[in-house]
Amino acid sequence: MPDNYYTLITGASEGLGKAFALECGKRNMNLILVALPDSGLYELADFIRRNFNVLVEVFEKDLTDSTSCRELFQEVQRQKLRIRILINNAGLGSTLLFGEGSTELFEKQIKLNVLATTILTRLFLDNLERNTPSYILNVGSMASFFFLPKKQVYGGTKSYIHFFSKSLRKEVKRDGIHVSVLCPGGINTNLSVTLLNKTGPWMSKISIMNPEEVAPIAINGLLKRKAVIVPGIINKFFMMLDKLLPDIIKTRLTDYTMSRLKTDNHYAQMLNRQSIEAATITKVA
Amino acid sequence: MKIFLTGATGYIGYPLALKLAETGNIVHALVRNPQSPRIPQHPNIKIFPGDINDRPSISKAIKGCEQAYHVAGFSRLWAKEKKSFYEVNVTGTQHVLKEAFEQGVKKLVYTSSCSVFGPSYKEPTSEKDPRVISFSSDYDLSKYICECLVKEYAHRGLFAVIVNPSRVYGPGLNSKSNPITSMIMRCLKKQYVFVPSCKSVLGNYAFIEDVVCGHIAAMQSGISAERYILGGENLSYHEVFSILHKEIKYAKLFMISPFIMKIFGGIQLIKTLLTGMEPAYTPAMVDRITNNTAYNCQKAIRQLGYHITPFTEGIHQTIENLKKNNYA
Repeated sequence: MPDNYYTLITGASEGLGKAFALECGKRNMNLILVALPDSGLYELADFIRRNFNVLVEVFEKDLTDSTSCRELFQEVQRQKLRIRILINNAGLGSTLLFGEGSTELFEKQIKLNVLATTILTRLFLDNLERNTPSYILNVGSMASFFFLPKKQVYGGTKSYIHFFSKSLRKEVKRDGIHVSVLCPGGINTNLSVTLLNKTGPWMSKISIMNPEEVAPIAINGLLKRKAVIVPGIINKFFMMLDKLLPDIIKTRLTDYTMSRLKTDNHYAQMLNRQSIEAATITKVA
Repeated sequence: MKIFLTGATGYIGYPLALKLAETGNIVHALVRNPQSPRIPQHPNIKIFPGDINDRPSISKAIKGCEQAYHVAGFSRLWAKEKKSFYEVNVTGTQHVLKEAFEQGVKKLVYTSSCSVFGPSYKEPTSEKDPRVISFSSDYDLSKYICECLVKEYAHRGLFAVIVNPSRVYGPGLNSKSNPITSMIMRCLKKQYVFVPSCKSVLGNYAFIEDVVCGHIAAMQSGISAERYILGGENLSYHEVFSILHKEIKYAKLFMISPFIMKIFGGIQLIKTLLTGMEPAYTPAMVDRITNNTAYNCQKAIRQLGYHITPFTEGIHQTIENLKKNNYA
């Protein structure tokens, strides 16, 4: 049996969040899984309990609503669950021209990526402080290092996560809380993204990773108390190029790659019932 | 009753068509080549030339049918063009679903595959378990997308049930879908058979007749939008090979390490790159047979009355059948 500390993972029903849940379960950690209602969270929790013999609590919450974030906190407090690791993974990605996106989409994206992460981190800070050494892992993106067309708002939210994590890290280190930011490239998170990733330009295609490859790297990095975690050799290589290449070439390269990035896929479209969210909203990191 | 069926020239579709016809149904079989030697012969089977990628041909064949079995699929692990998986499986399935829905078919059974579940973990995988690793093969991914489409049509009001056969074996057409039977045939012909040396790896072996009956049971008692694993016993390679050895004393099974197999698979891929010829197998296929794939069929047993033929008995029948047909 593991100890009585918990790891809280948001957006745990699919993609990277699910991989985090499985990876942490494998490492004998008790889990608090948070995701949207009806996203298969109970089945996942059941699978983890049966296979890894850990405690799993499930909370179905829409974290784009800050009231839900507070409710989650209150319910966790009421059950007196002690949190040692907080993984702010829930996020909404997109690849589209600014003029193509609706205000609702951008609002949702900022609320989930920026606001939910901020609120949850603040609310659970005391809980984490009581259970030191404790850890916060925020899921950023490599998009926070590059200025990419079609990723204006998404990249902006992830830059916030990057900035927030590194600043907070300096503040809370002395309290025994270690903050890391994960900056992955493209990941095969859900079905439509996986399909999109298959049709992308080669430069982004070769860097695509699977969630089950990223999760262990991220948890290792977190426990080693790294400030920034960039998973994958190719992503690391891109980061190195970024430092070496002159700006003019970098701009050309990103423009070229992004101009060839397709934002929809026939089969992905077929799957998505909601027409607005269908081809454009994709969870990237 | 009139029943529409795709995939009648395939390993599962062929005996399914015959079984339906023998029980007094009129089977409308959609086939690409009406001259194919693999067409099931029965007075109750009506052949409709066509293709699941040609909607009007489906429309013609499905007219007046109460039930539909969509068994056809591109069930390979390798294709010259990856597009084939999606064009045949996804687009084709969408055509069949659309026609079935619009023409008022009362019930449809879709033949998926256990490969959508991926490798199993400590316990045998059941229908509700999450997939633990990402999709790597286009076949698996295309079948999974098809399941999503079937569920979508089920929500719209088409009564549609999904069945997931596991590793199917047993008498029948010699095709890529039944490697176990081809292996037995090689053993009977005293040819060398190369098998993976990872003896403890679990697989699930479904007898063809069980799978065929499972399809019909799913049509009768399945719940719409649900999926049912149609499998058999979970056995390690060690168990499979020792059963095989008991039946065929002279079987020449040659153990080979998965690592070496992968290297050969890699060489095959290079050959394919240079010549465009189909590889005998690829490293990805090696992964597939060296991962645990144990499944739990309790749901089908409980809800459909699914029956599992013991592996020893299934293998015995397969061998008898092969001998009777002079190993062909």
